[in-house]
Amino acid sequence: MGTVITADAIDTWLIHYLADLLEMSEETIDPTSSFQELGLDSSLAISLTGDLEEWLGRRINPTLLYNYTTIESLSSGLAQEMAAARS
Amino acid sequence: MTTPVETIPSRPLSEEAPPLRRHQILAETTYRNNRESRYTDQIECLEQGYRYEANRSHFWGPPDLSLFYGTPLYEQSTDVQKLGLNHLYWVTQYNQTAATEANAILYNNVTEGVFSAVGGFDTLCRELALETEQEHQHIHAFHAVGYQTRKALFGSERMVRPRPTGRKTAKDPGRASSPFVLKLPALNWDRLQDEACRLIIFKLSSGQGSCSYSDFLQMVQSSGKPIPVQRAGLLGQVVPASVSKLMTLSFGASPFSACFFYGIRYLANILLKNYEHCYFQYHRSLEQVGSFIPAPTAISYYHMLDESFHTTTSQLISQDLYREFSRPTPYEQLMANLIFYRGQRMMLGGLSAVMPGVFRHDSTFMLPLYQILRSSLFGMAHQDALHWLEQSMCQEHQGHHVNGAYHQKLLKTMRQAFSSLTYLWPVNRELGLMAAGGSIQKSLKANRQCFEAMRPAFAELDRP
Repeated sequence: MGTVITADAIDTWLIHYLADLLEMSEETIDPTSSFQELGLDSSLAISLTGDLEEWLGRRINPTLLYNYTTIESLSSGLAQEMAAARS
Repeated sequence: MTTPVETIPSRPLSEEAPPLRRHQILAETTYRNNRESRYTDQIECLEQGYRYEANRSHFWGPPDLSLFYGTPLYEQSTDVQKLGLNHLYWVTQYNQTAATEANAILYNNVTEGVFSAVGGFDTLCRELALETEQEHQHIHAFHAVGYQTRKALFGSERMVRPRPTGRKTAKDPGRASSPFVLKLPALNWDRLQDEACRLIIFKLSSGQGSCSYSDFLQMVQSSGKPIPVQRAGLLGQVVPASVSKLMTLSFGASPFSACFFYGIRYLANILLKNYEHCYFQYHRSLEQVGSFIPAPTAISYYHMLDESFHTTTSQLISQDLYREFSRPTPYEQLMANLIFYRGQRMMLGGLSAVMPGVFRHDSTFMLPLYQILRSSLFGMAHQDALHWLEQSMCQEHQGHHVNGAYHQKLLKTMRQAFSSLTYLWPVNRELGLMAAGGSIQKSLKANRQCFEAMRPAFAELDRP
């Protein structure tokens, strides 16, 4: 993927993804909630890693899903890792 | 991908050179052998070439490593369904393994930072760094195989569904409770909380916040990041969220607690090996007769070989190296025992009715298994799915006895592994909770209570 993906873009994608999964409107998803608080279990890690990699078109560090437990922190952590990989 | 083999400088044979201690010899041998091995590379190749279609018509392990094995439902399943249950067992077990290996990555870093701060453990630190690198590849492979398998089996069906209760949304912004949360404005309370945790742990640990404080945690602190924690995997679930920062700091605050982490890691290594060795033997039996070896079977095979180095390291540090350091303070001994006790209760305190090799009651599996019965693999209506779930979880069947045999084998190994750790309470050293949890009657009772409590959740999932 040629374009730079920002934390905001990842945030938007994650909210859309989880809203679809949870059958909720995007406005009701709080980006500071933990995935656990949203009612999602550990099998989310498998799906989210795979779907994120398909969207980004690149391999991601699979431990991100364990180290960052909210939408907001995951977006920012992933964007930082991608920026570090480019530099 | 591992880097080329690094030569370990040989020690001069002068008379003045101190003899290598047993743990140093073992660390050097393990590091050398691990660096020379190519098992992680094999796993990476297998992951990259993995396509479910090429593996779908083969068992990936012995049939008893299947969801619902030994239940009346399994007996009347079609061959295609049995294959699916065998594949989903692999995906489920390695999903848990991935989460526990993510714990290992975090706490390898934390504790390697302690050994590095103390000094004199260079080879051991290199081995831990190598193991951490290998864990990244393992997790990625487990996720990739799990992702493709579930996609192939269920397509666009929703197989990741939320637990229907207790969901927090933007309209319900309560925070997780913590003993250090104070609701006052204009201060960085998260950082204050971290500082308070550090002060407490330094006071209570044998390290006293001195030269043995983890380099890794020092670096995290300097960069202004919060104390790292995880909420999945064995160590992510073993303590409540409010205590998880204290656990991270404890592992990073003294050599004793750093060594104790490897006691828990050793427990996880043994638990994994209890079923992974069956995949290893299955691989060998296929190899001997020249049969097709499914990629997930081969991943398990090479993973077990990779993990044998990690198990040796866990054993070395938790059973031998800890004797080199100061004895634990009362706090450290208490924390170690509480973590071990909670680990025993959560990971070994029950007997699964539907997953041989799993020693927990089945509360966490009920919703995912209900969804599998409703999926196109079984195509059951709501009432049929509930009927078969109830039969499988709450009525005695052959599967309980199959899992009972796995339980007895593991209990014997665990007792041998931890009998020499005199700082553990007898209930931990003798695996008392595990022994009590192997009862079929207790399993049936716990599953019955959970099944009844979850009826509303099943009903909610039944909505169109």
